[in-house]
Amino acid sequence: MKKLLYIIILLALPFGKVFAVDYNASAFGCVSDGQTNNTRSIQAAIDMISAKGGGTLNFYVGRYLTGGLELKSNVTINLHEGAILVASPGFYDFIQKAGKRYFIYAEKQENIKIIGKGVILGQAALVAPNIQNQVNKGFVKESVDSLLPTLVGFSHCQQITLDGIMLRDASGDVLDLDHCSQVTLKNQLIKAHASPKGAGLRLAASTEVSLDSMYVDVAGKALVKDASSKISRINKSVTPNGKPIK
Amino acid sequence: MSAVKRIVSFVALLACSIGMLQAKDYNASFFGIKSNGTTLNTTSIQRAIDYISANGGGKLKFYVGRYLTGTIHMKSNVTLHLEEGAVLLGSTNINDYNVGTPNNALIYAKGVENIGITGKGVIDGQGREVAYNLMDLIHKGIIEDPLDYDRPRNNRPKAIYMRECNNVTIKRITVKNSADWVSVYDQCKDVLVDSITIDSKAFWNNDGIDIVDCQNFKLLNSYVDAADDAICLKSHDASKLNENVEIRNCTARSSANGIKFGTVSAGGYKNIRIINNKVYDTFRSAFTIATPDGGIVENVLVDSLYAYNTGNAIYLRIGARWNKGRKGAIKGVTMQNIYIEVPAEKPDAGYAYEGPVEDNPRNISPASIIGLKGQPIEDIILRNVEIVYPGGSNPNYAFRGVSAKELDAIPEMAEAYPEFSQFKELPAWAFYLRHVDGIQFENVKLIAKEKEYRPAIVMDDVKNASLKQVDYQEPGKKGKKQLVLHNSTLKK
Repeated sequence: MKKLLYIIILLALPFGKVFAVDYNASAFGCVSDGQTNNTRSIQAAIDMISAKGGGTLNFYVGRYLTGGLELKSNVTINLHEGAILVASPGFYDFIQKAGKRYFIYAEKQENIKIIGKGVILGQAALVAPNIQNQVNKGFVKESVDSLLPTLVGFSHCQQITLDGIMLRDASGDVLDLDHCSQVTLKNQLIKAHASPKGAGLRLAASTEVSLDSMYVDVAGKALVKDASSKISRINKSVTPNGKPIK
Repeated sequence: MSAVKRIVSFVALLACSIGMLQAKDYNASFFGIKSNGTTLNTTSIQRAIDYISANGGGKLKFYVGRYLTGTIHMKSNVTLHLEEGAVLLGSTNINDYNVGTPNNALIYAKGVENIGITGKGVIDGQGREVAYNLMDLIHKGIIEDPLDYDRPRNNRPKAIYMRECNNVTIKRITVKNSADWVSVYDQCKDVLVDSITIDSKAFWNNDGIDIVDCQNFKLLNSYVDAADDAICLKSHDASKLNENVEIRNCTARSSANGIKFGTVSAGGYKNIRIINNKVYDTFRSAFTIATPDGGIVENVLVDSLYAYNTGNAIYLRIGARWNKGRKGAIKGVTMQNIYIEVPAEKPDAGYAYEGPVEDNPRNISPASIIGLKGQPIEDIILRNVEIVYPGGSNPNYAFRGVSAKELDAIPEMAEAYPEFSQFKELPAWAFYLRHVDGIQFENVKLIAKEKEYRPAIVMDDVKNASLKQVDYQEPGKKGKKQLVLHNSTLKK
């Protein structure tokens, strides 16, 4: 049975390669000067790659300022070493879903990867004052705390891999999984101290989640999960005091 | 034959002195050069330079206004003089530059002498726009480029490029926004760069000033703020070297290194004096010598260097990258009267084109002096040095122990790009020394502001080391063993 599986995988590999097309971010007009807002260009790239059957969007060293992005099925974001997705700190630049806000978000998608040694940066110190400003002016009614965007959120998604990417400086929670399955998180540095209650990983009704070589340094709890969530495996994953994540 | 030669040189001398007598000032407007910022002046400026050079030399004077231009070629005995308020503005069209020439540039000089750029005016390369337009032509397939990191590798114009030029004077100008290295002097002789300002964070790879295989070079009283290495000595030619270079009274900021030798170091560096300089907000090292390509580094003096908010203090490194069998060496570097502060956070945060987050995980890196096996770095003196580190390293985040086995496990990385962070976590908080023969610490104060899990100094394969008045300060760590020797000996 196993042998047959291998043969099928081997056969499938070359076809897989045909579809896994590589795209450079610059081809879509994305620039890494840290000042140009790339939201529409990056989103157009993700949408196009997904519509064409999938592929990899490559970001090389530099700071790519962008508002909220929605990830789509079969798209891999490869943040090569030194590449940083920098959250535009404007309050209305984040993705809004069901009263919550996200920098990077996906809903009802599958086979999504974010890989590489790059960084997803929340710019918390700039975001909170912008929200406060809108609250003060009365355009927003809720409290600032309830409006802080989550850095990365997946809802009703399957087959998610985050490998190597550093998740830093989130305004609220760092990584939020809601009704997701087959989630692989590995080799990640997660660091966020802006929100006292901000969780590293927040799981709701998510299963088959595996953690490998994760270093989670957050002000709140490293891992928060509800009763219906299941972690299938945790390996070499610690908080700054060296204690394993549970 | 020699009589003929003598006559020729006599005539040449005569001609020269007549030329000197005839050196005149010319206003740019004489040649139809417009200061409206929209008229492309490339041909008229070039005509002016050619005319002045052919007529005994002199100054081409630009008064207040914006002078748009593509590449202009400098000719012998001509000085471009930019009065206060005059801006020489680089065209944003890449085709206005000498593309296809290696090292194309807004101001290009090759094999000429007695040239200068002076005055309080500005050269603005508009580099980001040029680079974006170049990228556009690459995407369209009109210009071929392999792309480095999704950015154009070739054809990005430098602001100033001078090659094989003698007797060059660059004074008081400001040079801004280059698409590539900002100013390059390659195999030039008798160069004075004095009281200039370089301000270039326009694009990736913006070295501030590159001194390449030059003889008798003085860089004085200048301010350099650059996205890549600020003040950089290089050696591109194995048969040449940088000799008699003085860098004095300068201030440097960089998203890479403050003052650097390398990376390309084919020939080498000899008699280099770096005196009374400041470095600040610098992502990589305040001072670094990298010789990965066979270059020989001899007789270097760094005196009175003050560095604040720098990602690393000092990095000296021999490598074997493109050395083609030649053996690089560093011999005789004295670093004295030095004060350096290293922060816990990224020192260049918030700058456009800030340095890349890389070589993680690691805690704050120590200053490092690292040769190769059988190729030690020789005769280093550290005198009156104080380095302040943030401390607070976390072994759960990144760890490197000091057992023989752990120290031996640190890779040599001879062929790698030499960078202070290349080994990721190192086992010391202040100095890591490997393959060194002859090093003298004299009145050296090493301060960690918070507790460290690592010792201050680790020596591996170090011979003839001496430590006089070395003071370690780390909170709550009285009596901690701050010095670890591995295959190393101290001089009695």
